[in-house]
This record gives sequence, C-alpha cells and structure tokens, in this order.
Amino acid sequence: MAGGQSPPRLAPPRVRLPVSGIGAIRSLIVPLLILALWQLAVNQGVYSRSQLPPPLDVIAAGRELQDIGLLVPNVLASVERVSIGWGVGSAVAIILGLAVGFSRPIEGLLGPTLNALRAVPSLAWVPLFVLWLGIGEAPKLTLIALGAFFPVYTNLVSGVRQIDRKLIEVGRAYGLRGWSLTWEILVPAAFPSLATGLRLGLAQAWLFLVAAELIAASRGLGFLLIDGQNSGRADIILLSIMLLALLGKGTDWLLARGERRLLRWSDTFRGTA
Amino acid sequence: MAEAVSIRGVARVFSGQGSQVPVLRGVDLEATPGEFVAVLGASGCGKSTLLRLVAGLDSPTAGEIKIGGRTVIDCDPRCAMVFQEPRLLPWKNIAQNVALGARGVPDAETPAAMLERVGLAGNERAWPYQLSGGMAQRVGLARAFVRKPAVLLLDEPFAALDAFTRLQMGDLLRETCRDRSRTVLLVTHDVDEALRLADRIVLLGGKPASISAEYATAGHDPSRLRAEILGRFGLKEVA
Ligand SMILES: Nc1ncnc2c1ncn2[C@@H]1O[C@H](COP(=O)(O)OP(=O)(O)OP(=O)(O)O)[C@@H](O)[C@H]1O
Ligand SMILES: [Mg+2]
Repeated sequence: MAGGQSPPRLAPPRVRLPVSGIGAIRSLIVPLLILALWQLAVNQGVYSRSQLPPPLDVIAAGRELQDIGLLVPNVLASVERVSIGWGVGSAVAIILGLAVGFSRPIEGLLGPTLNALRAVPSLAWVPLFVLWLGIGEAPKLTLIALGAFFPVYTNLVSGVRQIDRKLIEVGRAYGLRGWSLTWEILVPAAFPSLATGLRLGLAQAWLFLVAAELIAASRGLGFLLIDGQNSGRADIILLSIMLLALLGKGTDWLLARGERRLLRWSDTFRGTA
Repeated sequence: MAEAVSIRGVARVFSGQGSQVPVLRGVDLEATPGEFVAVLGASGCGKSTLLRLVAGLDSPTAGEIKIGGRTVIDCDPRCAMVFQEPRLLPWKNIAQNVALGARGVPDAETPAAMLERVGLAGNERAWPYQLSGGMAQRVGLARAFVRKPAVLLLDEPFAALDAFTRLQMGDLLRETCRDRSRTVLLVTHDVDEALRLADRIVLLGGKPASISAEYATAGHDPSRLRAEILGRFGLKEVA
C-alpha cells in the first residue's frame, strides 16, 4: 500500500478466566460468612446438635462415609446420571431446536406440542416413568434428560429467531447454502443463546437428578439424602447438600469456561470492573 | 471474466401493513462487460435496493435483470457485494471473513495478501469488534475483491473512510478494475469520486425512482460535468 504509514496491529484478545487471584478471594467471602453464621448458630444452641451439627461434624461425616467406601461411588453415580441425562436431553433439544427455529413448517408441526409438554411440571411424569420404565436407571435418566431438554430447546429456538437477517444475507451473497449456511452462519449466530440454554439445562439436570434419586435409588447423592433422613443423620444430609452445591457449581464453571472460549468474538457487556 | 449487466424495465414495490410503496419503476441500465458505472442519487431513492436486485438478494416486482445474458433468479455467484454497512461475521476473525469471499475461487489471493492491499496487514487474527468503522469497511472490500467477481457491486464502500484512505481505496479499486476483468456498479454520494473512477455516471431519481440522466465521462471536461451533475441535484433538492 502506498504511503509510509505502518498499519496498526491489533492483538488478539486474551480470555479472562473468571477465577483468578482477587476474584477467587472475593467469591469466597459469602460462603465463609455463611459458615461463620452456621457455627454461631450451633454455639448458640438454636437447634439441638443432632438437628444442626457444626461444620466440622459434616466433614467428619464425609470422612466416615469415605472410610466405609460410600462417598465416591455415590458421587460418581450422580455425576454419571447427570452427564448422560444432560447430554442426551441437550442433544435432542439441539436437533429439535434447530429444526423448529429454522423451519416454520416444522415449527407449526412440533412447536405447539412441545410448548404444551413444557407446561406440564416435569415431576408430574415421574409416576408414569416408573410405571413404564421400572425403578432402574431408565426412568431416572429420562427424567433428567427431560429436565435438561426444555431450557436448551427454548433458548435455542429463540436464539435462532433473533439472528440478524443481514448476516444470513451475507452468507447467501457469498455462496453459502443449506448445511454450510447452517453451520457457518446460523449455528454461530445462535450460539450465545445455546450456551445459556446448556447452562440452564445443566442446572435443571441436577435438580431432576435429586428428584429422581429421592424417589427410588440405591446409590447417588439423593440416596444419601434419604438415607440421612431415615437414620436421622443431619450431618449426612448437610454433606450431601454441600456436595451437590460443589458439583453443580463445578460443572457450571466448566461450561462457563468453554462458553467464554467459544465466545471470544462477542462484544457484549460483561459488567463493570 | 467480466460479464454484461442488463437491467430492463425493473420495478420494485415494497408491501407492508396494507400499504404499497413503489421504490423503483422502469429502471433501464445496460453495462457492457468491464464497464465501470457509478450510480448517484439522493438518500432513500432506491440505490441499495437496485444493487440488491442485481445481486439476486431480492427479486424485482416487474422487469428483468440479466448478467451475461442469464437471468438473475437467486443469489448470483458471479457477483460480489460490498454492503453499505461492513456486515462482517462477528464470529470469524478478519482473515476468516476475507476467506469467505475466496470460497470456491480457484486462484484466489490469500487473505493475508488481500488484507495487506487494503492496509490491514498483521490484523488477520483480530475480531471484527476490535475494528474501527473504516477498518471494517476495508475488510468488507477485501472480502469482495478476493472473489474476483465478474460483477462487483459496491454500495457506498468508502462512506466510512477518512479523505486520505478514501483516495487510497479508490486507487486500489481503479487498479483492480483497470484490466476490465470485472464490471462494476458503484453507488456513491461523492460526485468527484464518481468522476474519477467511473466510465459512466447514471443518476437515479424520482419517486418511484428510475434512471433520470446518464453521462459518459470519457472525453468530457470533468469540471463541467461536475457542475452539471451538481446542478441537477441542486434543482432536485430545491424542488
Ligand atoms: N425491506 C424493505 N421494506 C420496505 N421498504 C423498504 C425496504 N427496503 C428499502 N425500503 C425503502 O425503499 C427506499 C429505498 O431504500 P434504499 O435503501 O434502496 O435507499 P438508498 O438509495 O440506498 O438510500 P441511502 O443513500 O440512504 O443508502 C426507502 O424509502 C426505504 O424506506
Ligand atoms: Mg443505500
């Protein structure tokens, strides 16, 4: 190019990970505060010790379960169910969501039915699933998949419908059709909504996991909850709740990381520093 | 290689909420292969609409558009369009955006080489949101140029550029088209730019709009032509 001006070079932006230094400390303030209040409540004797054990007792309960080999298998059982249920539910939701979002005839065919199904509180399906599928893994996975399905589906459909028509036009003007148009324009354009759906779907999956395991299970965190209730062990119940919180937060963090990596291009408001 | 563009009796009526808005009526324009035609017209008169029709992004209500003797029915692969806004795909980096234009072009320049030509060397990996308006518009130009289209459609491509870059991009455009290997339709507001670049200047005017005047630039004194064209706009503006 003519002229001696050297063009400005733009550095590719760095991905800022959510947990780092000060951020990590800041995110621990509230949990530590809760722990302190908890300990305070125990010291004040608000409830009896068996109803509200101190935090350290909960950790002791964890060690106890670990010693008799019940901690890891139960955690793994739950993680496995959530992974499978969420994976299957999301996969089906992505296929149906894309189809309904892209094609108005398909929307006409499936949209109303799916919306009606969504209106049914999903726990209402439990008796039917148990009746049809027995009390093994199948009804639990189906329930979790159902829980994950709707957030993914709904967000994806609305995401597809919010795509800027001008960008689709660019794709068409530059020769993209059918699959290439779907893959290169529609999917990335709808991806922010899909990511939101996947994260909401994961939260729902954990919710439905507990519901499924509370009903009938011989392993899993829901089983530990019931077991704790039946044996009057508040420490085990609290332990299960804390494990659920950690697992839910951890899996969501993984998804958030992936989302950030894939959405490096987006120029949306991320909150003030 | 360049193809002729033939626009005959083209009309476009937009219909919305019960009302019919005729934007173009009886537009006739013939561009020979390799010709550079500038389209001038007041804001909102239908210039972008006309280019979209030629690109096949929209279809005329009446009349016919042909490229190289073949009627345009759908997005035409022989065209490359620079839109009035840059319209970069936000999820593709700059090089990938340019590569979209090179899709299916056998001997296309590399995105890096093309970006260097528009003065954006070294920015291949930047995301569109990091660019200024003028930089983004130049990426849009690069995306169209790599395509080596038979018909190049430019919708006010230099509007977001500063005066200096504008001249540079104009030179690049002229250089790219000097060998007459592409037919160009350039929509612009800038009479001087049209005079400098085009073989022929057509004015789009009226409501609904049609071609209201045509001027060949070759062999004419630019300043007289300029005065005449500006005069026509002046009259239009006052009326
Ligand atoms: N999709 C549409 N639906 C209805 N009306 C439209 C549509 N697209 C354009 N118009 C109308 O057609 C007219 C011409 O629009 P167009 O974009 O072609 O103008 P233009 O000459 O390119 O203007 P500018 O110089 O400001 O870019 C405008 O009055 C606009 O309102
Ligand atoms: Mg326009």
